[in-house]
Amino acid sequence: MTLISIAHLGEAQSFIRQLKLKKIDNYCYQGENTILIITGEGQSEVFCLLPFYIAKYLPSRIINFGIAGALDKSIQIEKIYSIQTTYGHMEKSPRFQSFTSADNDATKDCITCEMRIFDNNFAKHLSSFAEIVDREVWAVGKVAKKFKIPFYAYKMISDYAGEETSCFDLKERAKYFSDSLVNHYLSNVLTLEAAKNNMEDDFNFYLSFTQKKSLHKLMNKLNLNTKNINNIFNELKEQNPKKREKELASVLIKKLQYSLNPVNEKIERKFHQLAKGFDEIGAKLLFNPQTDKKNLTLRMDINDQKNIDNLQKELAKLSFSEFEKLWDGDFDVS
Amino acid sequence: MFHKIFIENEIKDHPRTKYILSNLKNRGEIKYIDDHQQIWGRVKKPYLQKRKKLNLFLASKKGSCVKLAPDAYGLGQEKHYYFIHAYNCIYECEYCYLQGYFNTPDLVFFVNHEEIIRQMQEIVNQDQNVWFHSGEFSDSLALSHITGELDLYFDFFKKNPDAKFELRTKSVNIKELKKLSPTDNIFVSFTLSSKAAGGAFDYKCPSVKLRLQAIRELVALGYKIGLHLDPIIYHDNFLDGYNELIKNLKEIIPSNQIGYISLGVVRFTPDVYHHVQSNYPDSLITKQDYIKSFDDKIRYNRPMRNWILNSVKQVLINHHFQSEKIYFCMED
Repeated sequence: MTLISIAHLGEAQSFIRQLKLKKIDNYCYQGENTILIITGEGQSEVFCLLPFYIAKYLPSRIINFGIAGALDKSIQIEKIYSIQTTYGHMEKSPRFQSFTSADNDATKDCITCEMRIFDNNFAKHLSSFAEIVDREVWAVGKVAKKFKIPFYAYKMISDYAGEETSCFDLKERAKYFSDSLVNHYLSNVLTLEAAKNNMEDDFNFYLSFTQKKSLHKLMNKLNLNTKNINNIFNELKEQNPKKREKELASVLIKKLQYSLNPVNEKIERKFHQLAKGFDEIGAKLLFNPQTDKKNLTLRMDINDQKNIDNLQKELAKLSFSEFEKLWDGDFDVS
Repeated sequence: MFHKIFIENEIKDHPRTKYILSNLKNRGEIKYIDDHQQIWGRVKKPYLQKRKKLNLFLASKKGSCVKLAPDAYGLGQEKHYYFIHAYNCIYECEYCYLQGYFNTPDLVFFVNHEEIIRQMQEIVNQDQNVWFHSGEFSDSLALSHITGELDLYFDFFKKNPDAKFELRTKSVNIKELKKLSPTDNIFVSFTLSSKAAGGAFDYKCPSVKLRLQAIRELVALGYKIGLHLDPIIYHDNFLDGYNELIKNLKEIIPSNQIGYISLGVVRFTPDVYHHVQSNYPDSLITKQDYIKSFDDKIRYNRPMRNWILNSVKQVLINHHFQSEKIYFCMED
């Protein structure tokens, strides 16, 4: 589902007509896989309406269309620009946060102001930050980021910001701008790839939620797809037919972790040699490299004198200097 | 080269401002501003915009220009200071901490080097046996042909022979150094990695091969060389890569011209690591396993980084680099 946000009905009129959108309420129009929201002009209007409709329709991307002013002579009037990064300006100073659209090919930036710009000096000040000025896109970017939804913004340039700005003229030309924007949408933007949902998968074995998360991370790091993973899992299953799927999934994850970082495999194997004797008597000697502390932890349930005797024997054999050698990186990886 | 150039009104007639502008060909629009801090870093400009829209600010550095460096910054027991002559860098290394340090990739050149030198002199007046490093926030040489300030610093270190100067660089832009005379207390130090790592992680930087060539030329001119094999990033056959690099270095640099060799393993503050993940999601760097270490930095686990550091140190010793000139950077 794509959510299109536009400030004014005048700018939206051609979208409603050409996309055959049906009015849902005073602000919202719906079509096949498209929701159009008339937000009203200004950032506060966007903040009021956009989150509600995002929560209601759960769009996979947000596209903001509108008209905007040029701050820089390199910007052409009546051309439509895809916005790269949007900056904000409020209460006479720039806002720190910026939001970057999902269009990697965009090159022009836009600064969103709380008022229309009729002052050349102010326009000049704003041009230090961006080439284009508008009234909403920063707020759209902020809401999109909060909801972790990719956003795009396309701005048609009506005029140069400053003393030349003519709002009366803009109203009269709203249909022309709307036609141009919807044509741009139909001929260019609709070809944009929909945001990928990386969590979609089709594993042919059982995984816990945590395992699934780990596996997705590793797949991403190792550039593996679901088919690759299913194949590796099937091989593991053939080798270990008696193991349960969840256990095999753990083996699979370990295998991938080792293939990503073979040195860690050596570290774990080396430590396993040190701890082996404790395993045999039902104790656990643990070392967690994640903590960055030169610590060993020993765990054992004691319910018999024999446990204590065994533990004493194993402790007598344990050499801390062997562990220190591992800690100091004194091991062979070849 | 630069999208826009912002110049503080206070220094618009400064001779160095004029010098820099005269050296900038194809320069962008010039805008005069009161204070670079009104614009530079006031909004969060995405780091990768440096590829398309890199701005330059010419400014006067206010306040402290010389700062005490953290522990394990350099070799020996002397105090180490770094001075700030510029912010940000034209190179783009995937692991660079600058991507999370400032809020903008835009460059600032400070033109009031006389003030930096005055502050350095104050320190030397208290303690002559100190180190000064340039290149903490910007490459020391990459644009030195445009900024042209090196002679001022060389004069300072000639007058203060007990103080030592390190110019940190990945650049091969040694034109300015060729015009100057080396002294025993000035070290040009190159950050190097294996050929494979340099190719994979150091965008827009001169290749390792070219850096070696620059070292060769500086050695022939009599310069003392420092080496930073840092950050070392684990990759397939990384030790073979470092073996080749170190072998080449041994052929190029005679022992008496080697100042020091620092070794360091890749590390990030959590904030910088977040930026690396977002800027370079497909990088090998973001695909490795790290832990949060003793100083809250993101690093390899301790056995792994000790193994990496010891292995590379051993390769250096095998090639007859002096052990006492080798130190581990930023490790406790």
